[in-house]
Amino acid sequence: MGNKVASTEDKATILFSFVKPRAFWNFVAGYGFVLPALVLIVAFIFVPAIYGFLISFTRWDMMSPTRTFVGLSNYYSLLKSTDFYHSLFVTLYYLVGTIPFTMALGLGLAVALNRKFPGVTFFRLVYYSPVVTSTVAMGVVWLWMYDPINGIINYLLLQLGLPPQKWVSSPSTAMPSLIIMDIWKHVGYDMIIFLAGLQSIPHHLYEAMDVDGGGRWAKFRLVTWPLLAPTTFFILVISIINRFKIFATVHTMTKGGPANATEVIVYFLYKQAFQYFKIGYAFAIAYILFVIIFALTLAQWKIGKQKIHYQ
Amino acid sequence: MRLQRRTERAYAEKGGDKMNSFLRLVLKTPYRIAFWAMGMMIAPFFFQPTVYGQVTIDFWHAMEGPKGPALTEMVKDFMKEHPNIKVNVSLQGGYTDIVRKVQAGIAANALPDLLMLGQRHGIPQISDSGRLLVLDEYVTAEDRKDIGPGLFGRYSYKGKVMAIPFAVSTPIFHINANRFKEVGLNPDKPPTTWDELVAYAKKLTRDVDGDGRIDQWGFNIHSDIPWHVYGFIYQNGGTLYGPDGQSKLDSPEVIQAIQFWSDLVHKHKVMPPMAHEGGSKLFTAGNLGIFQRSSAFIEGAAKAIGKRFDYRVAYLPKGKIYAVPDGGGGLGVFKSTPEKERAAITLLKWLTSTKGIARFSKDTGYITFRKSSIAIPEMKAYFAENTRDHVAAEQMEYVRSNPVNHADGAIWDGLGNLIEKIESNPKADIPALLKEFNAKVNKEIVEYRGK
Repeated sequence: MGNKVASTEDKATILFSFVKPRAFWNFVAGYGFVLPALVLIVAFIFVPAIYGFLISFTRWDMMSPTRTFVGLSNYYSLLKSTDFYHSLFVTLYYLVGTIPFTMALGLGLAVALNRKFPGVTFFRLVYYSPVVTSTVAMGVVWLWMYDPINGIINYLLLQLGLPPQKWVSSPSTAMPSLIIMDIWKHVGYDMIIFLAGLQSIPHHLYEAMDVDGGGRWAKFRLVTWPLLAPTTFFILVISIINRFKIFATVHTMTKGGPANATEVIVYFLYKQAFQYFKIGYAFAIAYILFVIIFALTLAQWKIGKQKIHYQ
Repeated sequence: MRLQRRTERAYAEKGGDKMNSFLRLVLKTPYRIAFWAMGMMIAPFFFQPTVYGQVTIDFWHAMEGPKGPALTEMVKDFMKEHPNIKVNVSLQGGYTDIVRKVQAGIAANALPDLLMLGQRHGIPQISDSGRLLVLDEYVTAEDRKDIGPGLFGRYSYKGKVMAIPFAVSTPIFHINANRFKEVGLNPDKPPTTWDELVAYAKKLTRDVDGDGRIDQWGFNIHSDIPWHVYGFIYQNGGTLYGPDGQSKLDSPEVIQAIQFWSDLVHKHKVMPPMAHEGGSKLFTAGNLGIFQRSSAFIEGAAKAIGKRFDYRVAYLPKGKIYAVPDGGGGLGVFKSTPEKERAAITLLKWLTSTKGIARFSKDTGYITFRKSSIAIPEMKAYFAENTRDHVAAEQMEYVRSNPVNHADGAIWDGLGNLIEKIESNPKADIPALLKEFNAKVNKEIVEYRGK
């Protein structure tokens, strides 16, 4: 065929090529290789997702043999529930508190560590290490540090002559405490992605800036930032999706408390499903969460297409 | 085998006929080993060694930490006595994990025969699934008298016994006698009423180094807050549910109980606000006079304290009456075949017998809740050395529980939140909060009935 555009006849040949013995084995091998992954994805993601969607129209505790069909009543009572909006608000608080700071710090660190100096690998490693440590283990360690009576953070504050805080034990400071830990945990990830983005920027552009007499700030503003846009966009999308799904930190550190101050949406869902045994209701939450994340991501892509120019 | 032949052919094509027999052997061996290994792995599924008349049952429990091995040892001894019953014991995580696994097990039809059930973890839902065996016919009148109605009520649903109490604990006062003596209190006379508790705790709350911050607290409660709220409510003569099964969380008794809790923090200032998580450390470090926590804490506390101070335990005080809420878990049986059910019941009866409870409480620190167990000579000797465990066992006289209700989870969760709201806000309107909470719980109860 060469570079010719495939004609209808060619397409048909390709489509039915598996009829030929040799092509048939290729066909089998190809699908054979994809099959294990496909089976797993279908069995553990697609089937449960569709099944869950059906359950969201029922009232069920996952144990009783009878499932009552209740139509849209789960969705209806969810949209009327103040607890739901509260958890949505808490999740947004978390998003707004973490994402801008993590990204700004990550970018700053990436720029700082995108140079050659002795020990640079060590620093990259240090900042990245929280990303690969277990969230649950780190949650426990941070709980010790945040302890209002015996914690090291309050001890340090006292040494500096500052008033000690209640941290995760008070409704007003619990969320900021989780946010601080989240930033510490995820800044390394953003840094590594930004580093990769930085290193893909062609060096000659900076040389051109040198010739034109651009300073450091001009270089960052006119070369680095615009060329990093795809990276920034990727991190933003991934961060929003991941932060919406935050659960492990809350489960280990605060259990949604004190006084519901950290009851993020997934924890709200977990409680409905496994403490109140309202599985249908929980699935309704899951689907609303899905719609929210989907809509947000779609909107981001639409905006991203206009604002971002891939090289 | 086809793959093997093909690969051999591939090697043969490369090396031709020159491939010597040694190389052929080396190349073939891995296949042979793999073939036989797979065969040996699969074989046991086809040829299970069966002893004639032997029954195998599964037992899921929730005894995390050193308590698990103690239970496993007991089951091993049971199997020695009953050679025709084989028990597979497995730890399934905590009580919440076990309920989640039962949820999955019901869907997958893979349930154990004997199950440990947390006293507030899904008993109504699991019972309503119709898979649990009703145990009424296996409970004798002596059992009921020996164990007491306070505990049995907690494991009964719709008037039927769904589980037998087994790993039982209650809250108890953990006392630092050294602190008592320092402020001129007699540790032999711990507080017996709410008023005395306040008076004692006020004396015990001190700023020793004079920096304006309190460093020795009079009183604190462990972080399983709702459980202790139950205690306060019972002591004040209140209940969680009325006889009609609706919640009674806006009754004057409940309001007073919550108000008392709030006063301990805000009015009398003897309990640090929102510091329940750190209570245990505060106590073992010697900076807490009275600590209300589960009797299951006795062993760990004694170990952590060592000989640093005189550690004692005492009854919870009375408000209007003496009362302690029950905690822990019981044992239930899932329906299966008659042989398996019989085997599971045999194990259940063995474990919850007078001897079984005596041994289990001695090995794990759970309460000896059977009166007959306390009376056996072996236990008397044990209590002579472990006086703290004896106090916990005697306090069982005052154990109370609320009837099982599927709104238990919502109440537990909501009470925790309520206390957090009240402790973090001195101006919280307690009656209004309780009224709102009660309405919410009642709505759930009505909704569940409607199904």
